[in-house]
Amino acid sequence: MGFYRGHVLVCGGTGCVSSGCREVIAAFQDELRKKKLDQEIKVVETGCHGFCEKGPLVIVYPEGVMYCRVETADVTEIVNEHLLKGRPVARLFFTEPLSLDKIPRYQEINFYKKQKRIALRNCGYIDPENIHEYIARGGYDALAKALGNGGPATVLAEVKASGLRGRGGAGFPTGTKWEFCAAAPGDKKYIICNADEGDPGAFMDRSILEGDPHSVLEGMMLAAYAIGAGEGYLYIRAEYPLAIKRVQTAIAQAEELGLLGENILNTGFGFRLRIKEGAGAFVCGEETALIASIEGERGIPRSRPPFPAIKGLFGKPTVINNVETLANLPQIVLHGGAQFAAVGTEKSKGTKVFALTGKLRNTGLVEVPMGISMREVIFEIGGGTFEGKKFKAVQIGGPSGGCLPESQLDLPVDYDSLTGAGAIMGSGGLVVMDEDSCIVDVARYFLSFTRKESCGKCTPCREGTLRLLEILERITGGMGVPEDLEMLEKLAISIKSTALCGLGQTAPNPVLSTIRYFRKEYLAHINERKCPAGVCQALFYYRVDDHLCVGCGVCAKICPVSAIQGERKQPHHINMSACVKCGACVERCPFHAIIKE
Amino acid sequence: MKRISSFDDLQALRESAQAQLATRQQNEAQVIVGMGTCGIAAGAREVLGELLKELQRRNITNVSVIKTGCIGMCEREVLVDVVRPGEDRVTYGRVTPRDIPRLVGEHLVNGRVVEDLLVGRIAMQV
Amino acid sequence: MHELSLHILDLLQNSLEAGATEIMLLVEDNPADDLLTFTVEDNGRGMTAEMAATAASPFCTGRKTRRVGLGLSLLAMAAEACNGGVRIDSLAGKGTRVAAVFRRSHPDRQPLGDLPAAITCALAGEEGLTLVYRHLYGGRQFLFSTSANTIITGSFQAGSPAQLLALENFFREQLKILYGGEQ
Repeated sequence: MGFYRGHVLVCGGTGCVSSGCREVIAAFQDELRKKKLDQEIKVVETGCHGFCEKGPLVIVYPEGVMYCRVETADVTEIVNEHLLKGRPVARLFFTEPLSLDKIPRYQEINFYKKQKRIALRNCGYIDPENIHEYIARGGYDALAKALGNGGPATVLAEVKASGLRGRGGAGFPTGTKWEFCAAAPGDKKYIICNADEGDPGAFMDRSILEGDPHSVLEGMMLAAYAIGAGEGYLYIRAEYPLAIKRVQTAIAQAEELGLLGENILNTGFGFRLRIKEGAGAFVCGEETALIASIEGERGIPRSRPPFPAIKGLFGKPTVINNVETLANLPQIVLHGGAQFAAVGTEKSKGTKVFALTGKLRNTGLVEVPMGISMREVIFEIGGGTFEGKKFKAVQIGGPSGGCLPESQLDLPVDYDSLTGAGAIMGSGGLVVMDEDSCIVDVARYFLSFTRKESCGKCTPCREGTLRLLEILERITGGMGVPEDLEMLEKLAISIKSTALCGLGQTAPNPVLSTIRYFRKEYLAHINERKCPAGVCQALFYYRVDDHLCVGCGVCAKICPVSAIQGERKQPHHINMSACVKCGACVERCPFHAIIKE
Repeated sequence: MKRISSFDDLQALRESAQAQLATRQQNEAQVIVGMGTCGIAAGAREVLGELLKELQRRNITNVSVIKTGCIGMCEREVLVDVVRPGEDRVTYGRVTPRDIPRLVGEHLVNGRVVEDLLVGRIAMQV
Repeated sequence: MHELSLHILDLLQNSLEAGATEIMLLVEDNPADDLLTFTVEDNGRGMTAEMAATAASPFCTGRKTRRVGLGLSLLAMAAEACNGGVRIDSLAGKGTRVAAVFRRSHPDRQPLGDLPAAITCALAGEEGLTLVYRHLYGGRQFLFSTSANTIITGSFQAGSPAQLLALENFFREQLKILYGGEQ
């Protein structure tokens, strides 16, 4: 291994792969070879930087200059100007959306500046397929510390002191869960990493597995050591092929170095890891369903107690932790629970990773301290909504979460205040909606998701979500009746209190929270037969303004169902019964003569 | 790859791996204090102590405090260099603990060179 | 140099510049025998026998930039001025030990000075350094080691001003206890 004066880090997360980072990497290698710089500059494929929207991202060290949306055509310029002559290419810098400043160094971009990265500390910084880089960043140090002096009880105590709560959704205190399992009698115990990430829009678990797989492995080993497990499973959905590949590589490298297997670091502690690929059922994120799936059964939940910590995988005491939870553990054990607990709020410690999506200027993965306000996350890190569009609501926690309006934006982000407001922390998906989104349609969308993913074992969830969906479809279809609102609420509350598992218990959250904060919009759909955002197709129609139309015929040509007729140079008209309301004519009309009502 | 079988092995591997990553070490701001015999005799210990206190008072954490040996300008000791990321390395001479709040407040935080203590600058290489 | 602690800091800096990762500092304050001794021992790159023999001369230095090196010569001068001396043992590739002895009651003997500040100063920014500091006085001793705080247990960060200052205060208090409030 030689010394390189410069490192070119190209993001190799799934987002950047799909925007063409592989070609960019190849172009860099090619160009560097041509310029005879390949012995001086190293090209590294890293995991996700979180700023997928601007991908492929390239960061050049030692300066730490970040280039956005780099294409193969830009590579020659970067190599010639920056790497050869030392003049960074300003054209490709990130532009701050509000001030329009060009920012060269990525830590100075608002998107990164406001973050505090614990779980994501290595993502985008190291080569995830090289265990040495992880070790250089302090990797497996926590394991050495735990095995070297301390023992299982010390690890457990640190995790308890940290106040860490599960990052997968429910927010159960991790230390308490471990304690139950450690105390449970059993000759064999298991630790499972829940990487069955299913919330629409959430991708933090995938990014951690792709960008820093060893931190999850180390977290699992610490957990195993604390509870006395010798074997672990990673349950990763098969839709994450890159994550699976990187975890496989990580396991192989750790085994080769003797950091996994028998007698780790000569201490007698042994640990084996296996990957189980999930088939992508949302319900398998629920721990008992996940266990059933690993055991080879159908992935359906069972009632608890007994909790998995007492009777889990193959009937043995089992701890199931989410990817993000596990990735926090090495830092907690290494620096002490107290340091972790210093970040965050009284009841929610540390940081949380959020996936920012929707109608925002900057989308991507961000890790922020608990207790930060939603407004800071959306407007300061996310850059706010697009020009001229008003913020309307944010859906937190995916299909199990709730929808919060602007009046709730100053709420501190922590488990308890979110639950109080009718949302949940969930896995941390944040979908931002502006005035063009219809809130009833959003609720309908999430319900159609949970209805499809309901496993069908318990009646409230199987039948209840279907009925909820039917009512919502009726409202968005313009057939709503005044009693529907009350019916929705009644049904939602009874599903919440009677469903077997977390999926059913949280599925009505989007309905309840949207009714709570946007009742007016529901009423507009039901009483006035109007969709204020203009989304619900049944509640608006298009017509041609006779005065504006000059009869050019463009709309008639573009209409996919030939619903527009008229003589040349005469005002056209739309045949309502044939119109599918695709809106293609509106976009094409040069005279803005087609009006949506 | 060789199997790691002890804590020392892990540490040794970490050190060799760290050298490979050094290029990626984000050059955070640095304050470099001359700590040769000449610097010590001229009061470098007190200057460094005051620097630590000032950093703590202002709760600045992203600065590395580095010591260096004699650079040959002994009569101008205590020499303190301030390097802000991406900017020139600026050397100050005859620094006393009393000057530290100014160096930190003016230069390190706000990027304004303290002219009356200035000895020289070295251009930052990109 | 007007304090012995500055000489000690100078020796510690020498060790660090020699690439030491482990340093042992022993300060022995012995009023009964009227002696004050300190020893700095490191695992740095060491010196050849010839160099060690002339190390205390001001015209001996490991540097290529200048031909003078004053640290050890100043120390030797200070020690010899109060009926003491300096002994340098070194093995190339292994490390170096420098011991200085002073007649404690000699009128020219410099005061020990602010030792806590000197040690903290030496530790500043030296991630991964193991320093053992042992201070003896009148049959009692104070012992400190960063090794209990290094890589395996890992909480001490040599780059953190807060931790360094806390350590300095700790040294101050411990020395006060050691000297029974005399100092």
